[in-house]
Amino acid sequence: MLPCYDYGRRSVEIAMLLTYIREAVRSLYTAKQRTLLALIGISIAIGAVISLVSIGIIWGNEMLRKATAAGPDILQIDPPWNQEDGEDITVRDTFLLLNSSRTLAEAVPMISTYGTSFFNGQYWATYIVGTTSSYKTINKLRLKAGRFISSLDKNKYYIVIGSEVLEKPAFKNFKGDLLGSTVKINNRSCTVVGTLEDSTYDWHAKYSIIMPISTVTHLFNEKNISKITARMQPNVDFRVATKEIERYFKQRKNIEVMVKANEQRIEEIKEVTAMLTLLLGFISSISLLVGGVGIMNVMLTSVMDRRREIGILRAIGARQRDIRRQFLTEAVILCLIGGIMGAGIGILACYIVCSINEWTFFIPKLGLWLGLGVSSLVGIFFGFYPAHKAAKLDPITALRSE
Amino acid sequence: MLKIRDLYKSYQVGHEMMPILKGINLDVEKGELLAVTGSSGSGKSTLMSIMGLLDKPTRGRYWLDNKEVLRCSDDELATMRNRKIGFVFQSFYLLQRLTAAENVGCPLRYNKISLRKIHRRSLAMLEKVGLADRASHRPDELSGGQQQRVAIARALIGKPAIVLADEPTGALDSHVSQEIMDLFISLNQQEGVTIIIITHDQSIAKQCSRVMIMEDGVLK
Ligand SMILES: Nc1ncnc2c1ncn2[C@@H]1O[C@H](COP(=O)(O)OP(=O)(O)O)[C@@H](O)[C@H]1O
Ligand SMILES: [Mg+2]
Repeated sequence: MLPCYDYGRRSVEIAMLLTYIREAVRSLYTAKQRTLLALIGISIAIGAVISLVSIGIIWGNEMLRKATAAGPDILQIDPPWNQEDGEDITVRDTFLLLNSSRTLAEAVPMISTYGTSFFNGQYWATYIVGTTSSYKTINKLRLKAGRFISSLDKNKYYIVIGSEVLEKPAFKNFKGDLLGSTVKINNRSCTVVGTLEDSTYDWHAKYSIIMPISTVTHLFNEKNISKITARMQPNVDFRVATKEIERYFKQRKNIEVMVKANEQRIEEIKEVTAMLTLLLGFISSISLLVGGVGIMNVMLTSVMDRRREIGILRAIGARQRDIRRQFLTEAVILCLIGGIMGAGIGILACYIVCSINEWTFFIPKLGLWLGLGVSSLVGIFFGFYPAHKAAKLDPITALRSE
Repeated sequence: MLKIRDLYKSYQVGHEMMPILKGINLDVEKGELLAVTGSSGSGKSTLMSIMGLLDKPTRGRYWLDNKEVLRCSDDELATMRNRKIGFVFQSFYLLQRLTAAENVGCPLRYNKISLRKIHRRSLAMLEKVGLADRASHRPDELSGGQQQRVAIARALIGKPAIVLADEPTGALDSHVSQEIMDLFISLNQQEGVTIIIITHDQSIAKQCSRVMIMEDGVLK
């Protein structure tokens, strides 16, 4: 039975569209097997688009989250790899830089080296970081136990152990309280004052044993700074700060430092992920082509099988455009159903990839809209030729055909 | 109402043109019930599809409702089929997916009429052909005679100027054929519908007000 909606005269067009949609659903349902085959093709294709684009977006977000967690206002200042003309950078230079700078709020020097450790009956080679108490806050380190090195620890043999170092057998197998224990570094007894929790972005803190910078200087006879971590004052453009720092070291010490701003990294990540997402979207659209050709094939077969029906409709007064619209509606509905199924497949695939990589899963709206938009476009594009063919059938030939 | 002058139709078979209609002249007045008979293959269906604006003649002139129709665009032809012509075919040609009422209402879809109105008119039409209680049945749930009644209701729903029936009783046994013929006669007499029935059944033909015979590509 026809549902008896009263749309009034001005909504007759909508009623007509609804009729087309209902007809389309019915005829798709009549040809179940064919419909199913087309749906498999198109839903996998749409699923590929949605999942790849979503994965691209989620991956980008993940990278961005890490970079932002480290603080967008942080700058890393590295001395050149091999400086021949200029002088070295010392701890003093760090404080002079901070004092003269109008853009920096904080500057923390760090010396990175390596030595030999001995603990719990085992020797191993270890990375050493010499730094000041501010290193903890600027790098957002978290303590697992004890405390970080403080400004009162100058020249003291106190150490804080990084999270990955704690995974060494020497520590893993150690029963008892690590705090207050003695680790020998280059044959000097050092007291453990703290241990660090896993930090996702500061590589140094993770893999090193941390000591006061003054201790490292005389224990390893190393006074050259490996890196300065600086924090900008609020509302300072990283380009201005970078320029200022570069100029400072060029003038005072005649060396060319490398300044890397986290904010710049964030911008780079945004660019790279946008590119990647675009690329993934592009690659996956190739599968759409395959799905679309499947739709076209199914629609062409459908047109051939329903020539009689087309002839009847033409005889009772359907214009070419009425026939075209009916078959186009059918193709678009087929693709939209495929699109919805594909969204399910895509979201599932994306969820699996996210949980394997331990990324935060969410459904990017762009991916979803893209998938659904693209599926209707595929329907219109690949449905047009069959629909056009149906519309152009000669009425009498169509009617007489079997 | 309907006027045909010097109408020719040839089909291309291989490289040759095979003439089927060789100068048809025909005048049909409003309210007529005309039978066209003739042997099988004489070109009756060909003539009907031309009169029904489904096919074009090779040459000739044709007026329907005082309008010269052969120069019309495809859309205009479709609209005229929709508004002025009702078809009844030998094998019914109903849409299997649709119910009887939906089949009957089908032509009105192209008419910008609300679904409710279409439904109401379909039911009224079904009642007129005596199938009010079969409105929600699908064609495969109906007998041949019932299906042809649905087809007749569909042909009439747009209040056409003329109904063209190509062997409407050809697929039915004689008892049911007569019922269908009675329906045509009552529609013609009570509603004044103009009807052309193509048939090679003499018992059907002789019930019509005028009979023409197709022979050697001309109507006599
Ligand atoms: N499309 C076509 N191409 C070639 N020959 C055709 C075509 N349609 C009909 N014919 C031929 O035209 C002749 C008349 O057919 P038709 O009008 O169906 O006759 P009738 O309805 O009187 O039996 C037949 O010989 C048939 O083979
Ligand atoms: Mg015939």
